[in-house]
Amino acid sequence: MKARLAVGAVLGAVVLIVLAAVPSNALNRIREWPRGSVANIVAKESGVPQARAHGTWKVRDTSNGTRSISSAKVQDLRPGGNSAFVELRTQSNSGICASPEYTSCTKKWYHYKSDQTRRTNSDRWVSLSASTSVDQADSFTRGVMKVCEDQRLSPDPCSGYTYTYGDKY
Amino acid sequence: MRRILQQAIALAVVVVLASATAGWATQGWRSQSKPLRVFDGGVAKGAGYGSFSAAPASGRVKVSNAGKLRDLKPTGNSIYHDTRYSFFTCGSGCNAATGSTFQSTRWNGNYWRKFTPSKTHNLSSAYDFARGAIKVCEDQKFSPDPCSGQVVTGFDHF
Repeated sequence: MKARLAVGAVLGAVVLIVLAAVPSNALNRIREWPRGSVANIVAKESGVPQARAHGTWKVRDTSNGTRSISSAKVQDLRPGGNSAFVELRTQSNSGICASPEYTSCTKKWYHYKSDQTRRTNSDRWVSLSASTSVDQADSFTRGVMKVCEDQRLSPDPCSGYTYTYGDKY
Repeated sequence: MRRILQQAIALAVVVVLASATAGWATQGWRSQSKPLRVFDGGVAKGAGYGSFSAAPASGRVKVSNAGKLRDLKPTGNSIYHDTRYSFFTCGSGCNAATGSTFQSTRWNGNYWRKFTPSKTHNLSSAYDFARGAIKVCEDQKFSPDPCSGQVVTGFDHF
């Protein structure tokens, strides 16, 4: 009985030590956007849908360093005119963010860098991506996306922003 | 059988404890098949991958980066790896308390060779996590050095 207890305690200690020693970053974790039950984010102008998008976001080490990457499926709902694109805003957090999903942080998320996908003018779903580097001064990042209709002579109508869960890198 | 199992577990504990108390932490960055690459004018000039480490020693920390380099255009300029590291402390937010940079020796062979520059850093107080930002660059005399994007890596306090 004593021996069994001892082995149990030892095993417990081993697990604790191994857990403490393993770096807990979450590279390559795929985050779907938009979150929740909504299928797409939609850009409207005067109430008329112009473009919509959904996709995934992740933090990944690439041959060009550590990147925040958004892979979007974009559809131009009024093709032939202006084209559609997705804007990625990479946000950072300099606080401590608690699991699950790093939604609760001791500091506010702030904007680090932005990128936009190429434009599409197609009525079919097109795969487009945007990416930025990540802030070396922080540990947590998340992707913020909106879909827009590119208009030359007036401000682009855009959807609201959608936010992914955060990830440690 | 049970005794063997117990001995094996005890040994495992000793090994784990020893490596934990040794206190160094290390993080690999990229690999030989998928290295960081530096481009200039659309041409790949150099590649690198390696292992970023920190080891404490009585109030000081030895920060090192064992990075292998390969010059993909070995006739001209040489390449090097560059490490910027910081130690962060956290209150309501986390701020870089201290840090520095170091670079490897220049290399212009078109085969892999390891360079392990290091820096011993005075660290007066505890920190919560350490970060390293690593890039591979090409040394150019008359213009700014082109560099790869940076890998950002690190570990929590040890």
